Amino acid sequence: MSLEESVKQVLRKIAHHNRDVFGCIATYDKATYSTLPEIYDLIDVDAVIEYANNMFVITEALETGDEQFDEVFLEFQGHSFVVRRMRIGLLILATKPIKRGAFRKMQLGLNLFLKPLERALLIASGEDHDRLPAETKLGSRSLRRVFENLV
Amino acid sequence: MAFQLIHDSPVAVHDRTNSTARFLTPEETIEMARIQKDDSVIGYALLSMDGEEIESSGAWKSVLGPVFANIFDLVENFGEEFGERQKCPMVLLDGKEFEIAGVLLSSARAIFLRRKEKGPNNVLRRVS
Repeated sequence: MSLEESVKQVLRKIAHHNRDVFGCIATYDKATYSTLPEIYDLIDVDAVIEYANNMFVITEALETGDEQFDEVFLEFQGHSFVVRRMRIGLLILATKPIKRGAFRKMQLGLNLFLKPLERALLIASGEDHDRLPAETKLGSRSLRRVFENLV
Repeated sequence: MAFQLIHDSPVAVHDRTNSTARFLTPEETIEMARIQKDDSVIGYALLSMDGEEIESSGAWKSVLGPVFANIFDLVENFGEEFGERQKCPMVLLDGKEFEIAGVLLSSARAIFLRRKEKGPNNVLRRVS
């Protein structure tokens, strides 16, 4: 199996596990992987990734710490989207129109696949998978400090 | 760059006597007031469709409006790539301990910052 195929296999598992999901895009280190080969003809994938990344950049203006808000759920009429900032890379899920409750259920299933996906992305990019950054709780500490100053 | 932060932009100063009435239906006004009273909600902002802050309170009072005005633009550009030409009804930023929801109302957008609760009580269900 090619390295690229191993990333796609994790993405297919995510889609298979969540029946509402009809397309996944994962990106890391300028490489993009998708379960839908035709997606590159249908949408401007680079623009979508830039918009998604910029959502997280903007949230940093809230000064809650880099790690605080790592997931965005967008509800539209025809689709819903989940954008997840991983420890490395970004995952975008396009789903059927779902409500917040369904998103919450989906989160639980999604978390199972994040580490394998990160590992596959690192290996596909030629990096040592042991280089995954350690998880940090700095963000939530920083936000708690802001809140404590308010009360 | 697909966006520009607008911290330096002048924030419109509205006459509070008619500010929210122009943007909210009576039902929305009641619902907004109810949500703001919820203990878990620690920040609130009401934005016009143009991204101007109509009113705000609580945490990051001066930050929620400008940040979200930009996020809504990005979100709608994102959706447009997938053929979504309508306004985005709801944006949820999910954090470890906090969540921020932006909700489309009839003529405005409301943003709530809340502490996450454990258990079934969830104030944002009422507006989503």
